[in-house]
Amino acid sequence: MMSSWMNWGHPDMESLVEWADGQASPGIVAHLARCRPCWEQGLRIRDSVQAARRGEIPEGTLEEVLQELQMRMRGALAGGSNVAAALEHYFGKQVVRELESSTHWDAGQKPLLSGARPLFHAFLGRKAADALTSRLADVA
Amino acid sequence: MSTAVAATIPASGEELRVRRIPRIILWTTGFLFITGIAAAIAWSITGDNRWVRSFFTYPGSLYLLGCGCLQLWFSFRCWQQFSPGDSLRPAWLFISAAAALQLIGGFLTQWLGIASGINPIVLLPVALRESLRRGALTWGELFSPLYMVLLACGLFFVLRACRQIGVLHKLTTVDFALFGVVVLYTVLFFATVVFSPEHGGRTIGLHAIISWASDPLLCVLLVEAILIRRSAANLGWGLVSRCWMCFTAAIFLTSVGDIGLWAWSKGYLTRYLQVASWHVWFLASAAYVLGPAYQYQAMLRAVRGHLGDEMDSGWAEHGPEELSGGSL
Repeated sequence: MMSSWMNWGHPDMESLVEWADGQASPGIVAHLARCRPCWEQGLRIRDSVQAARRGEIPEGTLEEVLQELQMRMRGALAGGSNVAAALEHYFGKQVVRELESSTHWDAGQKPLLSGARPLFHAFLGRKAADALTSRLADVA
Repeated sequence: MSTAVAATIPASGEELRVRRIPRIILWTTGFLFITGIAAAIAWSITGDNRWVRSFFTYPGSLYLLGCGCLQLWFSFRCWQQFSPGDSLRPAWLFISAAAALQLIGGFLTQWLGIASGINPIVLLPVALRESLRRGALTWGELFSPLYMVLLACGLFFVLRACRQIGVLHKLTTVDFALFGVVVLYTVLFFATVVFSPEHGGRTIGLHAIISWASDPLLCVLLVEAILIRRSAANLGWGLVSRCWMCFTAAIFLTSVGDIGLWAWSKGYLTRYLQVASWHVWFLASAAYVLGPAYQYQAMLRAVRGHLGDEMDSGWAEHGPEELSGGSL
């Protein structure tokens, strides 16, 4: 139950590979339009798949690349979800949506934690904000 | 991925106690309301107003004083949790000072100013007792505008912080409507009391001017509270947001209570509505405690690195591997 909660709304690796192949469902496409970490993972998978097709990566190593991407995806999902969970606990769901939408697409934008830090700092104080961000770094 | 934080962070004793406070406040307020309704029913059946008077003199006064003590303690603890240089530290200093003045005013008007068995003044000779009681009521009244000034200063720092981090939102039609009600009441109050030939039965002096300042100050507080409410509502319903929603509710309920008192003094309320309007002060006091209580709870949890209830219990139950996306 906890696991499904943590992955709530994020597509799994198989769905991202389908998207990279141009076969994703509209739901996945809509999610990637909103969620920057998933969008970036999707792009990496697409680049790897295309590189493999062009013969830049030997077919045999594609599985290894995907495994590596899967590991990174796990880290990104866990890190992002931890920040989202903390934001939701202290502020609410709305702020998570707002921060996610404001950090999406623009490559110059900072990730969710960077958006959360000023909120933690202002409303909970430096001491509490530092404790929260260091815990988030530990669990990511 | 790090597996260093594989276990849940146990809640401290203080954290557990603070966590129970909102529920205790809500249950106590509910119980008080039921007692108040029972007293009002007894009064309407017997016609004996001692039922209602006893309710407001004993459980009512003790509840308001208890809330005042808790509000001061939580506000002070919140201020202590902020470090020098934090943007909300001055806000909580002002809020604590406002709570202290509110409590002193409460002691004067709800304890020393009323004729009850729990008032030590009643043990004094009659002449001295009455003079002291009247003095307590007169001086106690002055603490209301003073705490509002300090609370307004505190909320100003909150608004400044909201603006700095970009969560300050514009007012909506509903917000303007809420504000309009209080402004309308203030205009009516000034027209029918302050600028009337009788001045509400008071002689114009420093004391009267200070006590009349309560209503314009409530307008200022309400604008601040509505702006904070708008920002908090846009964040969600987390612990910090709840804190500021409670402050907004407390200020709005104070306005409603003031309107009730004015309407009562003008004879616009039936006696039942009048008694019902007095109950609003209990709700306002409860909201004034809940605000700092939620903030303090949030700060205690954050300092210990809690990422949320589900997250913390999840780490203990499943371990980090599953939490980080076991289905992938």
